[in-house]
Amino acid sequence: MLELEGNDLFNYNPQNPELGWTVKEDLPAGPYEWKGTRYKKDANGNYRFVYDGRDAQAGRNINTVGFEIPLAFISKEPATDRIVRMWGGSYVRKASSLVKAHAPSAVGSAWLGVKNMFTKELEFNNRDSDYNQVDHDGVPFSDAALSMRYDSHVGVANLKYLREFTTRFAHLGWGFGPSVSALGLPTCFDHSNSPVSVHKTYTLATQAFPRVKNCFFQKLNMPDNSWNTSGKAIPLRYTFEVFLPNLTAVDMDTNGTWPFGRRPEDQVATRFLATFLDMKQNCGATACNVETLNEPALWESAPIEPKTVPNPRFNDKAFLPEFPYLAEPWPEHTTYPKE
Amino acid sequence: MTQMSAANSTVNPASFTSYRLLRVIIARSLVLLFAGIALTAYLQYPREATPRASFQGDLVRIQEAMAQLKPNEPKYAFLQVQKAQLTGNFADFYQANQLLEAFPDDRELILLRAKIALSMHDVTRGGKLFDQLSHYPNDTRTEDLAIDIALQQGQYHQAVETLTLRLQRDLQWSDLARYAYLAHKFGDSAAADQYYVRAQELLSAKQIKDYAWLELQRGIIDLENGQHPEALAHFELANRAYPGHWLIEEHLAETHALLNQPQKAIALYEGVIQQSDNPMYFFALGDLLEATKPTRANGLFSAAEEHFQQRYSRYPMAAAGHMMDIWIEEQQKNPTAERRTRLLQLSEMNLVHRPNADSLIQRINVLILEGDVEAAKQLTVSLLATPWRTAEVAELADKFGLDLPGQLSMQLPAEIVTNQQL
Repeated sequence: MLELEGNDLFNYNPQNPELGWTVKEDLPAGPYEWKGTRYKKDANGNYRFVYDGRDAQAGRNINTVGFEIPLAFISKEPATDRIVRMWGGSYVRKASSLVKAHAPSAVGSAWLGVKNMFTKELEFNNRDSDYNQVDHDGVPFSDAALSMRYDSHVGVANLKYLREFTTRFAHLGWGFGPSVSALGLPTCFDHSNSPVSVHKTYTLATQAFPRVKNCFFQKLNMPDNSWNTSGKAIPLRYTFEVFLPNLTAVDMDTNGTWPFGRRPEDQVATRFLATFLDMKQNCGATACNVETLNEPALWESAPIEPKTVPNPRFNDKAFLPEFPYLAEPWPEHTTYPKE
Repeated sequence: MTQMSAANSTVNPASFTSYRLLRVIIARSLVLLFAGIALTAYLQYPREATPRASFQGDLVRIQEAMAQLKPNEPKYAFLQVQKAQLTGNFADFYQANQLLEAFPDDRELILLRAKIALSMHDVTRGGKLFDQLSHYPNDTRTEDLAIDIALQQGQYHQAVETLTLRLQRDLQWSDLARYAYLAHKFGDSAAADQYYVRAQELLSAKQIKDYAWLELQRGIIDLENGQHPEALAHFELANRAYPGHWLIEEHLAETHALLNQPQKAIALYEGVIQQSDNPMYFFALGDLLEATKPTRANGLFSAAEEHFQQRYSRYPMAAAGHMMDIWIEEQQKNPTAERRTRLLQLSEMNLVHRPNADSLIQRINVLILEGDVEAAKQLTVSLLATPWRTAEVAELADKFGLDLPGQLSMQLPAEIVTNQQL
């Protein structure tokens, strides 16, 4: 999150300000070991964000498929079954599916013919075996951060990976926790007052759990009540409920904002980062919440440069308020500028 | 007799007629039923969809793209490499290399030059270009070159080790195919075929050409193991997936010839020599026509020699390597002094510059022809020290009374082979 003193690989270099944007350099020969002891500070005592809030995809179109499905289509009791859990995946057709089965002998050909009599030719080929999965997503960001994008980790039955989630969350906590503390914000992660991020991995969940337990079992505060559009008594979500199971759970009695679903405009990366804040304490004048790190005012007063939120706050074009809820496309370009 | 007549007379003629009629109806119904099933099965036999890509289509696409560019543009050079890879013609590779040399500092184009040099068996030049790229050790494509160099220098264990690590790190179909090739050459054809199939499953519909290439490799395993009908089935499938490619057609032709179907082989070779400058195919066609059309055959042999000279002037290692096996066979049947000198010279050159198992086998066979049994035996000892376990290696070991060492295990972890990766 914060630049490390002595990290010459990708710390901001005023002599090469476009490094990583329009300038790409080759990774120098190793070793890549970092031997510093603290976060980098400038002459004014400010830390520097690794992020600068710029939108790297601004001006580009992203292929999107939008669906709007009545709840009654997927639930027998839409009035009472108000939680919809979902995941997404993308697939490509296999080359092998385009090549018809081939039998070198007459007997084999006859058998293939008979077999084919019972094979329904489909207008749309939905045979799973004819496709390779390219990507999938259960819970945005958490899928990458905690589930490491493993195919096996998508779906309902992911309780068996609790040990991995614990050790992985602790690994991430050693990265984010000390950064959060350095900025003067309270963290739920127990990093034993480490002054700098530590690269640490665990084998035993029993060693990691004491450090992450406060994060796992804290309620994720919301910035206000606008999320509860039904006025029903809906409890705040716990952090562990975000990734168990690894499915995006949309509460139809809310406006569907993360972690009660995921709205297109939600800055999920920043909200996921907020799970390392201690939600029982204040961040500034108000209780820490999932939007705290997305508030420009926080960073204005923080000892950091640049004084921007870590990730883009808004889409580069406003989303539509009605179906398909996507932004209007940008004009197509044959080539795109690098910035 | 009387008793029989008496007995027959007790049968009701109406019942008997009905019984016969019933039999006829059942028999005809069964015939009709089976005919119906056979017709339906025939009609239902999987029909091939129109291929999404073909050799000719890809060639035209590249040529059209080149026509939009100037020859001094880097993309033009890149497309020329693509064209050369498609046609396999040495003249195309040579031209591609000349175009690439105009950009001596472009890393991407240096990489292409290195690939061309190595595909033309020029390990010295490929190694020098590789050295220029060694500043980028984290580029997997540089690692590709290192594997290729190791294979050409006969450093098989090193290549296998790197490939295994890469497969465990990130399963790519091209690495799996390389591994499969080695598994077959190291004597485990069943595992090799399994890896090729797995590699095919990794390909998307847009990679149908690569799918066909892998199918071709499966056929080559069968061909080299003497299973000609099975090889033919693979080559036909490859040809249907990606029609018109000379490399597939020449394997089809070779297999038809081995299956004693010379007319089919001749027809295919006639097409192949229109697309390829490889003298092997001119020679093979000449061989098939020698008995029936000796004049045409002699013309083809001359054309083969002419093409060899042209290719040799550009890429001597690759030109020699490809033709040596044919000349060794010819020398066994009909020895000539000129061919003997050429074989001695080229097999030595090949072994010096590219000391892998293929070059060793060729050199050993030349030494055997030469009558230098002791030198051949010494080289066979070196050959047996490699993991190469083809039929030729077994024959040579047997010939010199040497023990054939065991195979190098090429079994990959199950999760790689069975699509159970995380």
